[in-house]
Amino acid sequence: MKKITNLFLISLFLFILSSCGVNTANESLYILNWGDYINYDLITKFEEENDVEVIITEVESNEAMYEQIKMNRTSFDIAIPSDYMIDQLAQENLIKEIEFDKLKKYNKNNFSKLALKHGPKSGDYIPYFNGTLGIMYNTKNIKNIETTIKKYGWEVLFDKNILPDAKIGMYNSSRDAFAASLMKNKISINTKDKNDLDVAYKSLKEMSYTSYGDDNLKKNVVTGNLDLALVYSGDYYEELIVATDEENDINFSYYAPPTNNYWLDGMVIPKDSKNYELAHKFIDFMLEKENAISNAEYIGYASPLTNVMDYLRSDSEYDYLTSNPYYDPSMIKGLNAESFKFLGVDYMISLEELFTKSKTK
Amino acid sequence: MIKKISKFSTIFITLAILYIPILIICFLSVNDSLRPYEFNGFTLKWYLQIFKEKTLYQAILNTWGIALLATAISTVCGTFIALAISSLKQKHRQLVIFLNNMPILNADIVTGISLMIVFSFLGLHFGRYTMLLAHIFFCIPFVVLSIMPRLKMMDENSYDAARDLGCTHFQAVRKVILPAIKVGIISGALIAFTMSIDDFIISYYTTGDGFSNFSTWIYSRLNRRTFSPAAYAYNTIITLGLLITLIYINLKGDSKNEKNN
Repeated sequence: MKKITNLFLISLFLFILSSCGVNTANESLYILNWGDYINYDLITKFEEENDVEVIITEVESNEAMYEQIKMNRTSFDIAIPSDYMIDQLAQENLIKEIEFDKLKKYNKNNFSKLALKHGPKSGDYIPYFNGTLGIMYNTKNIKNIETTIKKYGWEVLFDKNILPDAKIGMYNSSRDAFAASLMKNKISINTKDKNDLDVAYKSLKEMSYTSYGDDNLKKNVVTGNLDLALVYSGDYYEELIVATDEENDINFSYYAPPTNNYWLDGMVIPKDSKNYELAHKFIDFMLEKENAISNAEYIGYASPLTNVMDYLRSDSEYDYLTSNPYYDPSMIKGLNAESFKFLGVDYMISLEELFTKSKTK
Repeated sequence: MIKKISKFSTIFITLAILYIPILIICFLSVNDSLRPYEFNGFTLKWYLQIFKEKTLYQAILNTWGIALLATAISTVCGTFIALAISSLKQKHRQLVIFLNNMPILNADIVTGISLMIVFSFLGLHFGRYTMLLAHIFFCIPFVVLSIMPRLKMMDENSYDAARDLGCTHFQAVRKVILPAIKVGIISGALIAFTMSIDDFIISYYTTGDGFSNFSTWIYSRLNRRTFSPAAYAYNTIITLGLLITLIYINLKGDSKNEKNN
C-alpha cells in the first residue's frame, strides 16, 4: 500500500515537474509547424524579447496541419502550410486576415517576383520559404549522369531507355508523382482534364521504380541505394547541410528542370488564434533581415526575401548553398513555373486512386 | 540430425529477428555520425545529449510523468472496478466483463479517434490532461482484466470470515482481499505502465498544445535533420535498465531456490 502511495506521489511530482516552465511567461504563442522548420535560437530570442512563451506543435504533412486547424484541438496563432493548403484553408474560411499595417518590416517589394506571382491567390499569408521540385542524383555510380539528366529533364524519370541501369525512386505521393509526370508530358500540373490525367497515368504506369518513398528517398540517393529520385529542393539542401557539417564527401547533386512546380510555404494566422497581436509581432520578427538570414542559414532553403538572398550570395561563407545554380528558384534560367492549386477533395481522392492503380504492375 | 538442425535454426532465426533491431539501436547510440547509414567512430556524447536536447528531454519527462500517473490512477480505479464486478450476480458480471474487454479488442486507432471526438465534443482543451485522461482510459480495462482471475481464485467466504472475526468493512478489504489479489494488482499495474509508456496512436490523437511524449516526438522528427541520435541513447538506456532488472530478478530467484533446497 505504502509503495503504491509512493509511486503515486513520485508520478505526481514528475507530472508537475514536467509542467514547470509553463505559465511563467505572460502570454503564449502557439505555432503549428513542420518538424525542424525554424531556427530554435530564434524562438528563444523571441521569447526573451517579448516575455512570452512559444509552444510549437510539429506535424509531418500539410494534411495533418489542416486537420489540426480544423479540429481546433489547440488554438494556433501561426501555421506554416504550403501553397495549395493555404488555398484550401482560405477557401474554407479557416484563416484570419493579416493586418499588414501592423507589420513594420513588411515590404511587398522585398519579396521575389516569383513568390508574388505564383503564391496562392486566396487568403492572407506571408511567404516563408520557397523552392522547386527536382531530381536528386548520386554522382558516383553512373558515368555522365549529370549531363544525361540535364539533357532530358523530367524524361529520365519516365523513360527506361535513357538510363537503363539506373535505380530510380519516386515520391509516394499522388500529387507530386503526377506533377512530375504531367510536366514530362508538358501539361499543366493543375489540370483536371481526364485525358490529361490519363496521359500522366500511363507514363507512371509504364515505368517500374526501384522504390516509392517519402523522406527516405534523399537518404537512399546519398547512400547510393538509388541513383536518382524525385525530391523537393528542401530535401536536397537538408542532406547538403548535414554532409557539410560533418565534412563528408558530397557525392550527390540536384537538378531542377526549367518547367517546374514552384512551391511556397507561408505563415498564416488560423481563425481560432487567440493572440492576434502577438502573432503579428512574431511575423514581423521573422521578417527582420537579421532573423530571416539566420533562419535561412539554419534551414538551408531559399528565402523568398530578396535582401536575404542577396546577403547570402554576397557572403562566401554560404557558398556551399548559393554555388548551386538551382538554389534560388528566382535565379533559375528560363524557369517556367507553376504552383499547386487546391483542386477540391474529390479530385484528390480520384488522383489517389489513379496513383495506386499505377503502382500495381 | 536434420530435425535437430532445423530446430536449432528456427530458434536462432527467431531470436535474431527479435534481437537484431535492438542491437542496431544500441549500435547507433554510440555512432558518432548524425546519420544512421554511416559509422564515424565511437562516442558516448549522445547519452549526454539526452539532457541537453530540450524538446527531447521534455518529451521523455512527459512520457514518464504520464505513464506513472496513468498507472497509479488506473490501478486504483481498476482495483475498485474489479471488486465491484466480482460482487455482481453471474449474469450481470459477464455483461460487464464483456464491456470491459471491448476496448481491449478495439483497434488503437479507433480508440484514439473516438476519444479525440469525445474530448472535442466535451469542449476540453487538448494537451497534457487529455492525454493523461486517454491513457487512464485505455489502461483501466487491462488492470481489471488481470485482477479478475485472482478474485475468482479467492475463497468467496474469506470476506465474511474477516467480518465475523471483527473486521470493519474497510479493514476486511484492506487486510484480506487486497493481499489476496496483490499479484493481480501488481501485474495489472505493470501492464498498464507498459501500455502507457509505448503508446503512440492514442497519444497522437489526444494531445495538443505542443505537448508531446517520446513517441509523438519521434514521429514528428523522423527523417529530419534534427532527429537526434540521443533518442537511440534513451532507447538503449531503457533496454539496459530492463536487462539489468531481469538479470537481477533471475539471480535473486536462483539464490532463493538454492536456499530453499
